[in-house]
Amino acid sequence: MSAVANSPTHSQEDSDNFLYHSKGFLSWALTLDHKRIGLMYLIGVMSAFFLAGMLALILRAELMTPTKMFLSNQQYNQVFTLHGAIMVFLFIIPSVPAALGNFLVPVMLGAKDVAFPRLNLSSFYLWVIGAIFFLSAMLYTGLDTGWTFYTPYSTTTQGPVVAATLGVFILGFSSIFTGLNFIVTINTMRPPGMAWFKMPLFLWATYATSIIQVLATPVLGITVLLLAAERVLHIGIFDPAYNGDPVTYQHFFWFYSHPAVYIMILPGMGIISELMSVHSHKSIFGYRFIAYSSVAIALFGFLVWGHHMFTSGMASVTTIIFSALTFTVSIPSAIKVFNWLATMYKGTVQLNTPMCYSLAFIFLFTIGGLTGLWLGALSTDRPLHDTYFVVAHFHYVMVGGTLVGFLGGVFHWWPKMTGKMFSELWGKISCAVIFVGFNLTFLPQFVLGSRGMPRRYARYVEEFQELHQLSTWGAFLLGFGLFIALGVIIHSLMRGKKAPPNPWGGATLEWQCASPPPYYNFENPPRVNDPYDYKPLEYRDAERGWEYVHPSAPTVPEPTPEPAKS
Amino acid sequence: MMEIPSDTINIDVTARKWDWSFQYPNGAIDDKLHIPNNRAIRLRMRSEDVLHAFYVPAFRAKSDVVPGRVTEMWFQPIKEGEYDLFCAEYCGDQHSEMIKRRGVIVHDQAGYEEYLAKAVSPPKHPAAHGFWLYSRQGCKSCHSVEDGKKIVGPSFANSWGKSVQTSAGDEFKFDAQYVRESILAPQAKYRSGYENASKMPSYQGKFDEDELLALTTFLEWMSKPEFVAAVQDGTLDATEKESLGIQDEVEAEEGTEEAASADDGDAESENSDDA
Repeated sequence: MSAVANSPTHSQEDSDNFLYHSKGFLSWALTLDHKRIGLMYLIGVMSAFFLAGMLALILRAELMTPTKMFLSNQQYNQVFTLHGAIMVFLFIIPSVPAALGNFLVPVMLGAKDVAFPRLNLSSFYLWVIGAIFFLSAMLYTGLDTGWTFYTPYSTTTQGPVVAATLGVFILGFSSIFTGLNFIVTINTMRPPGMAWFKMPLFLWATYATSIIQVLATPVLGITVLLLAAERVLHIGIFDPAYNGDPVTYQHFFWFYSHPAVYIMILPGMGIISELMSVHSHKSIFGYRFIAYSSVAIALFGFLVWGHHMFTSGMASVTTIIFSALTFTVSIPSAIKVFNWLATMYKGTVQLNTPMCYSLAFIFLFTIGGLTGLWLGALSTDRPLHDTYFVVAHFHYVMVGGTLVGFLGGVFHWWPKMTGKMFSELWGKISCAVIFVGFNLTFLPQFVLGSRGMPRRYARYVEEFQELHQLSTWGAFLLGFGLFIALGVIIHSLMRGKKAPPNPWGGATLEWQCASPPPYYNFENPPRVNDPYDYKPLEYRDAERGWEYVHPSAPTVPEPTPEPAKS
Repeated sequence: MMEIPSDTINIDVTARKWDWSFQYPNGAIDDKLHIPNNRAIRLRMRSEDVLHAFYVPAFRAKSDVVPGRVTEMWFQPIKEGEYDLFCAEYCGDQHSEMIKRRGVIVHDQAGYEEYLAKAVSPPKHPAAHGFWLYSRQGCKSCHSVEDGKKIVGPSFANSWGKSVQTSAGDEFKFDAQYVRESILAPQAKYRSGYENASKMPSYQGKFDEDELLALTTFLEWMSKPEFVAAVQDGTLDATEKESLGIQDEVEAEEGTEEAASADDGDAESENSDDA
């Protein structure tokens, strides 16, 4: 009769709830449950984010004055290296796919788990080992190469480059395992009735991301191994002292790291596609185009790595080709933005916390994307390359895009993951503070960059001080906003009201099981609907949330009766 | 679009941790870029160690300097003045100290020629010559002339004749032999406390014997307090030289030489025009 039919009875609920059905440290440490692994990832990536965010505040504080405040040049270099490397390798890349993806991919498919649960757990432990390796290497003597490990600096500096590159290598495998798992899961475990074009768009985005993870990450693995070999054995490919060429390293590195940019942003786009539709209570506009554009971004992403190297001394014909290819990426990105906007048109937009984050995402991502055009064009990239303009641009995409999307996703699926609602008011306040703080931090950096402030500078000329100070105050406000968001979810854990199975009125399958889901996810195979058809859903009250009122409306094949799962 | 005009002034640029030097058509070397207005300037850039990037925001001009390659860029200044020069590619500890305040000076044609003529002739006295090399060849970006001020490597002040300890624990004397060895093979002896400092590139082949002698004399003079006081501000002007008794001997003779080298400068730049 209703969606609750698929959730266990109340007495069962407590004992079957995936959070509590088994207890003890080992039941988590050795779990094969994708939901628990997802939650452990969530805690892991949030800790990494906390650490790297604190480092960012230290950097911004140091930049209050053009001269030394409390960090020496060397310490500054180590801190920005740590900030970048932790954010990229330990937070952004695993954030959405590994934390939210692990939780959501099987439930969105109506499945019990991912295709390879053990591989999934091993991917988490690889992440932990990689993180420990990486952090201890960096903290031990202080890595100062920047997260890009550009040669020949990285082959000649005194820092623990080999240990750090091995950490990256291990983290790469974690990423590959996750990607592989999702590809197989989505290919083989879709329920009857869910054709490719009936999949939620988050799954499309995850699928596209996984393709990049599986195809591009091995190149990173090779690159860091070659780098370690160059450093230890002097094999002579990257270091000019041994007849190598540093630009070769940049080609290798960006062949992974540019597609990795799309590993970072695509899942965020997937989240926004879900949030926009659910909170507007209107079917997503241009479903197929959004789905195709995810795949298109994944494929184009492999062809544009050269735009990181326009000033590195490539032949001018090569730069023209890379510049032209770079502009093609803007097409699928723009398709997505226009489709999200069109989704809201004539929808019933509810400004819930996740929706506020989605709107912030669209605004910030659009600025991030459009400023990318200046960097993709050869003539304007020349002065802007390696300045704060670039810093601002990729923070608009990575923070304004991925992080804001991630937070929106966390708030959107928080009731599903924990079974607790959070304070809507404070959720919206956190979003507003983050939005203002973020813009205050990074808008001045566009101006700084266009006036010629190079990046990775511990000291600078005094004309830039005012803008730097503005940016620093913004960073503290941004940090404050993130603390509010953290407070909201901690408060929700302690005091949150019980969440209904479907608090937002979503039509994707995860909203058909209880909140939080039982460890087996679904008692009966869920009904596969159009994931963006909200007509049969109606809001009851705060306790029951949204329920299906027309049970017969969208059923696709009758689920074959089978004995209840043991 | 990217084609370089044929009548450029060619200047060779060397980037190193953490300084620039510019070699002009007449052979003069300086740590600042002096160029004439309204002329196309072509830079041929080399790096001695890691990646750097030559960046003059006012000219909207940037290009990486890649070790193992010669990268070229060109631009044409259209306004006289002094402009900031930055390194835009991360190059280690003192990356942000490669800010060169007003490091690019755009002269009118006459001012440029006058500069070239003056820059080509180093001071005569070896101590002054050594200091002149010290400020132009990149030494000063790692070695200070203030007592006890450590930038990357050890300070030069009051080192001469002292006994120094290596990281291996040996002791040796800071003398002419040690100075020579440290310039030509910097990694032969590490002083204790500098094991983790960035490696100094070798100057083998870049200094001739006269210049090595000048640098040695300069370091020897660095044990004289009045000399240290004179060079502390980074310049050694005529009155300071005079009070130290190291001014270039005959003023008149120097004048004629200056004129002669000015002619040389002209000839050189005309040659490069033809090329």
